[in-house]
Amino acid sequence: MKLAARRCLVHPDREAAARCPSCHQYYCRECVVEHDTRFLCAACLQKSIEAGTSRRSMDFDWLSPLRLLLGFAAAYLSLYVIERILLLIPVNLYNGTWF
Amino acid sequence: MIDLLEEAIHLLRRTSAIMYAYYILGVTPFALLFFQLLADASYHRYLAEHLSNSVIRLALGYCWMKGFQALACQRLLASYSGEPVSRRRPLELLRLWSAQCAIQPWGILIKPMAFIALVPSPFVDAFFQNTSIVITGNRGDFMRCIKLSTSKIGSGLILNGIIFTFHIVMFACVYSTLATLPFLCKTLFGVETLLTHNFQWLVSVPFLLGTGFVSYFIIDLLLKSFYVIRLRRIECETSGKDLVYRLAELGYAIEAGKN
Repeated sequence: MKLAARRCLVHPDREAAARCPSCHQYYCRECVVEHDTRFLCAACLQKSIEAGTSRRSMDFDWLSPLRLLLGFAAAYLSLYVIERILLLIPVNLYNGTWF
Repeated sequence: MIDLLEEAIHLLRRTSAIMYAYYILGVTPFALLFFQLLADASYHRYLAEHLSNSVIRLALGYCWMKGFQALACQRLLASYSGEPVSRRRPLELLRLWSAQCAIQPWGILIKPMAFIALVPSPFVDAFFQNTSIVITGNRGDFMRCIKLSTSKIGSGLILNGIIFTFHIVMFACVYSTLATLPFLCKTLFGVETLLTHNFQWLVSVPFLLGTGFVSYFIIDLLLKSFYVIRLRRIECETSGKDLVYRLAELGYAIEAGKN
């Protein structure tokens, strides 16, 4: 049967405009969304995003320890500079003995 | 701006206790380490001796604090937007923590420099505050953060002015409270301490730094609340997400009314 002869699953009064490649149901233009060069229905899109997120979250990101190290080095450097600046303050000003 | 301030305070009132727990859990170790450094270095000649050890401890404390602050901001954003908070897995937490650690420490030096240069200050402040809220280690977070920080820079300038005034007022309040405490103890209970013998400690650098530190963290949570609301408003201007959630809430309310 031709696509135009099909009806949208959600809106039966509308002509189908696409077939979801995941659930193989027919939908109108309003009910499908382009995702990764494919037209998916809302439910399959949600599933696809959730699957992608959980897959990503399960993967170990090898850059994470590197970022942690870089961050620690940056914090060390910044705080070292600040403490060095404190050392530049004259003693009587630092201790308040000028007062 | 006044309505934003009211809304920020209201958000802090209605947010969950978990947000405060995250924030306190993050800030407390860093604050203790900082006060330990101030105590060790209360005399100029001791500062150089404690320098390398204290810097390592403080750097670790800073990274720890920024991770927890990011988690607190996520909670704050969730309670403002009404969106549910997803439970993070350990690897997601590691990614969030590492992303925060990679960016936030640069703010220690860049923020004061931007403040002195004055012009880039609203962008820099907005960037580092937005980093706490937006960056979770996912792809595209960094560009999103830059985009959010550069939008509405004019209102950011006014916001910075208000926050700076708050900092000054809070500094004066904390300073006067801490300065009068030893003398109050002496007057009321007759407790004599080293602090009541002279006034030099009132203008010493460690005391001023400690006061500045306390006043900064009193305002910081309000500032984070400000930026959460600002970020949400900017994003919702184009996405309309806030309306979608309000409609969903209305839908639930109607359903509950029917039942």
